[in-house]
Amino acid sequence: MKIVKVGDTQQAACHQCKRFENVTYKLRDVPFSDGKGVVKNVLVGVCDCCDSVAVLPHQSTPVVRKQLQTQRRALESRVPAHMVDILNLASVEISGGTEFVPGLIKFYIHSLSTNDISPRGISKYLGSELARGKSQKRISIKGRLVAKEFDHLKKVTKINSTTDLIKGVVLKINDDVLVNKKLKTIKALKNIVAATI
Amino acid sequence: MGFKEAKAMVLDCLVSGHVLHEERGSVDITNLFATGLVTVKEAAQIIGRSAGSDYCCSPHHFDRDIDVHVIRTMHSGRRWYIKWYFLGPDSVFISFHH
Repeated sequence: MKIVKVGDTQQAACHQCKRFENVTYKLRDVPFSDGKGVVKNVLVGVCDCCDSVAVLPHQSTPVVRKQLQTQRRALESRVPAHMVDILNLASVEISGGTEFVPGLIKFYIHSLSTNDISPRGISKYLGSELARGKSQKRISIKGRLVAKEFDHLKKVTKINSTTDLIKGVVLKINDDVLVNKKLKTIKALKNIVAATI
Repeated sequence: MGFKEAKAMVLDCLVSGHVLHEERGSVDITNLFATGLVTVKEAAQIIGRSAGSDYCCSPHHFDRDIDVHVIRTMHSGRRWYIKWYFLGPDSVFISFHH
């Protein structure tokens, strides 16, 4: 493994200067390209001419990964087994397979948190028969936005328990996709499936 | 430089650790190799199994003497897009995503 040190120099393409320039390796706080988060104190090659970050040595990738994953906090909960069955059935309904389950939950968390799908009535599902049962299976969802949106949804719905809110979201999916077969929602989901799978 | 030579050279760089990732003032989160979500071993597997028909090459915008190599290949059910160039002993990856 090639290891570079602070102060080492080399040539690299600088997109600010639009030419190959000399870069010097420095420790910098570098933002992610989508503007959501920063990799702190990471060794990067900085253009000697314009001071912008031009290159990342491969030795810095574990730091990038760690900080990216910290921001992609997983959402985890144990739920009754039939909740996972509902998600699998809904995913099959939309995509023909179960691989869309994480995307399906993320779509609903996002849509409910932005009010594209009304979050009103989520709490009513918690009193239903389907909300009951021994929690035997685990649901784990990762994404750059999902934890933040889920926290927002907790405030909107006034459901503080992560497990209860996940149950509410799953039962909302059941209602929309499997019971009432809401065409607008199913069409939106199918469009996402077509673009991603 | 043709496909076989470019592929052999980039695989050598992966083995020897002469790997850099081009950035534009920020960490490109779509470059899965730069974000550590693709390992060196996985990168070598994806590139190693690509064929000549998956490959094309064009001059770098900043220096036409530098070839930019592109592989578009299917691997584990995903279509990968990999773009890099050689700079001295290093492979500099511009894109690595599916």
